[in-house]
Formats: sequence, structure tokens, C-alpha cells
Amino acid sequence: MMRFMFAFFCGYFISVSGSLSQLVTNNSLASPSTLGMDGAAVLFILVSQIILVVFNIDFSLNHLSLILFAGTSLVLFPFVFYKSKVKNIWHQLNMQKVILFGLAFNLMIGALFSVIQFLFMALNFEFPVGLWFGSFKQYDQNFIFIFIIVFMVTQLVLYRLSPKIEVLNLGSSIAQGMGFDVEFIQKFGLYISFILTGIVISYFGVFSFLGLIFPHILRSFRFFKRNMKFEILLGPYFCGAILGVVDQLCYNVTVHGAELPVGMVSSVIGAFVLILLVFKLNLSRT
Amino acid sequence: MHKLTISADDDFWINEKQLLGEIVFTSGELVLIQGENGIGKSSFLQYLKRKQTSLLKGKCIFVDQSRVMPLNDLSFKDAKKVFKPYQFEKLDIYSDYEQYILPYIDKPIGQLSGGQNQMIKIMLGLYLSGDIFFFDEPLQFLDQKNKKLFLELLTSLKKRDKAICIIEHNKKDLAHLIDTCFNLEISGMYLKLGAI
Repeated sequence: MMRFMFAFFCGYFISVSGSLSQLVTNNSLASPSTLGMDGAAVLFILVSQIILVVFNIDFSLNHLSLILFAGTSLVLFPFVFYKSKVKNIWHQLNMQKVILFGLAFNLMIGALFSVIQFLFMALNFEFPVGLWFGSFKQYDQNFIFIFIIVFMVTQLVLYRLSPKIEVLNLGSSIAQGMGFDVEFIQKFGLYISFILTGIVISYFGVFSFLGLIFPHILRSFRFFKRNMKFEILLGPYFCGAILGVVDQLCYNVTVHGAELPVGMVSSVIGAFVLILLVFKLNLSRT
Repeated sequence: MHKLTISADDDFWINEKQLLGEIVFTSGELVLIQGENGIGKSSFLQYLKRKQTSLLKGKCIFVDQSRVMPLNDLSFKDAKKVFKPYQFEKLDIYSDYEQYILPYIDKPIGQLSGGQNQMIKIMLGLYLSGDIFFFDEPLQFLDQKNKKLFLELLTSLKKRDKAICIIEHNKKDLAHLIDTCFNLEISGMYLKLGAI
């Protein structure tokens, strides 16, 4: 039951991250994976592991990673929301280039992960290999309270943000014309997406492309297809349940006693879905 | 009457030139902004959008060139429900013009043609309503029938004391409706906006 709860919360957070990433960028290929958020969160895990080993500290990797991640996020907060009067770079961002950069960044972190893994293993140090493909196999029920608090705060934030998000779905131009501070909503949405991604990855590892797949799964259902508010407020519950069920399947269906990590399944399916989406978008333009 | 003065203090730059000038929006009148391609007419409109609450009194409606492309299968009918809380007033002419988009009112907006998308934007603006209507190249993508409709709409808005500001290259179609023309032109180091 506890394992299912963790999977549900992670699915909820990933779904919110994915939907927010796509909505604020108005790009159906945007997600925590394609925007480099996964890579950034893994970087904190790598740094945490290096700190623990180099300084020989007996501390939970998950907690240290989350502390570093949260600390950096708080430090970055004023810079993210700072509005330059001289040259506003935000307005000039090309989302397709940002997505390419995000994908490249993730690849770079993946390579760095492999190099550090090699060095650690060569030097006989412990290395969290399993974190590259997320799994709920190792969970600590004491962490559930953090997830419950984040879940409740997220719901509150989404409830307040959802009317603006609904208008933003029609385009930043229309939202701006109606007097909304579009830049703030976009930055805030991406910031929440980043925080939720970091929490999931710090504790359970990477679930690549789930943030990309979940919004598209939701939009294939009539109930969510024409109502962005439903996608944002109710859809994540559905996605949380999906991840919980898929995780239970992975737990019960083992390969010679070895459990397939859910993150591995999402990586394979997600990469395939990304290719299909790019193909579909390309066809719709021609 | 809404008088907008842009001075050096406003620190508004377009294409590395500082914009200075004055424009007046009068209820019941149509103002045309013209200028060379690439001079910054649309950028000026984007600036007004961002600063509308501080620069302009009255509710502003903007219909610009960007295409409406929701991520999901939102139709115009669904979009009206989203916009209902933000509706400034119910214009009596709205239902007269809505009938012209009935054939595609339920179709996902992302699947509409350029002309249909343009009509949707115009109708959304009409649905929301306001004191000043800004249109950026509204006639592009419109066929003859919809152009005629839009020109009738402008006449109706003027009769209802709405101020209208249009950026449009094709002055010919609007000639009978224009009350004042403003020109955006380069003047040395500056970009000047002034009445012709």
C-alpha cells in the first residue's frame, strides 16, 4: 500500500510537471525530460554522492540531494522571476531551441553519470546506479509526509493557477491581451514543474518521458480533451493511479526474480512516443 | 477619449530606436496606424498589451496576428466558457455575428484554417468586449465575404461608441471608416508616432 502511495504521488507530480511544461511553453513536446529538468535533478544526485563519499559523511543520499536541490531552487528564485528592464531575454526564447538544449543537456548529464559511475566503481565506492531508471523498490515510509505536504501545496497552487492556465492555453498573446502577466505565469509554471521533478528524482530516480506521455494520454480521453482545467486539476490523479498500477505490474511480473524498474519502461515507451509526436507534428505542418 | 503619450521616460525601444509620440483613441472613432514593413507597428501593439493597465484607461481588447493554437481540442464554444468570467459586457451585436461562425463553432480551434482562425479571434474579442479594440492586420486570411462582415462589424462598434485602432496595410478597404491616421516613422535616432 505504501509503495502504491509513493508511486501515485510521483505519478501525480510528474503529470502536473508535464502538463505545466507544455501549457506555459505552448509546445506539446515540452516536458521535464525534454527541457533538461531531469538532467538538472540527476546532477544534484551526482554532486550529493560525491560529497558523501569525499567527505565520508553518513547521511541519506536522497535527503542530501533534496536539500541541495531545494537550496539551489530557493537561491535561483529571485533570479528566475527578475524582470530585466534593459533586455528581456524571456520574450526572445525560441521554445524549440530550448527543447533541443534540454535534450542535449540530459544527454550530457547521462554521459557524466556514466563517467562518474565508472570512476566510483573503479575506486570501489558505492554508487546509486539504480537512480538512472526510477523505481519504487527502495522506499522509506518516513518520507511519505514530505510527499503528502507537497501534494497538498501543489493542489492549492494549481487551484489558484488553473483559471490563468486555461486562458494561457489559447496562447500567450491572448492571455497578455487580457492583462495577464504571462511572463510570471510561464516562469512560475516552469518553476513548479522543476521543483516537482526534483522531488521525484531525488527520492526515486528518473522516470524519463513520463511528463511528456501523461498529458498526451489525458488528451486522448474525451473528458480531458476539451477542458484544460480538468487536465490540470483531475488528470494528475488519473496519471498517479496509472503509475501505481504499472509499478505493481513491474513488482509482480519479474524476470528471473529481477524486477523491471518502472523508469526503464517509461524511457522505452516515452522515447517511442516522442518520435511519433515529432512525426505527427511534422505531418500536420506539411 | 483616451490620449496616450509616449515620452523618453517610458523607455520604450523598438529595433534599437526609442519610440516617442502621441496617439488619441476617441470613442466612436477608428484610428489607423500605418508605417513601413518592419518598422515596429506590431511591436508597438505588443508594448501596449503589456502596459495596458498603466497606459490606457478603459478595457482593451487585442486581436493580433498570432494564430490561436490550444494544446487540446478546445473549440470556440469551449473557449467562450473559459472567457465568460472575463467578459466586460454583453454586446447586443454579438449574436448577430456569431451565426457566421456556426459551421465551425464546435470544431477544435487547432484544426481550423487561417481564415477561420482569424474569425475566431475576432469573435472572441467581440465576446469579451471592451472600450478600445485593437486589431493587427485583421483582414489577412479573410475571404471577401468575411472581409465585408468585419467591415460591417467595425461600423457597428463605432455606432456603439467603441474606440478602434487598426494596423493594416490595405487602407483601401477601410478608407470609408477611418477617422484619423497615425504614422510610425523613423526620425533620426527615434521612432516617431504622430497624426497625419
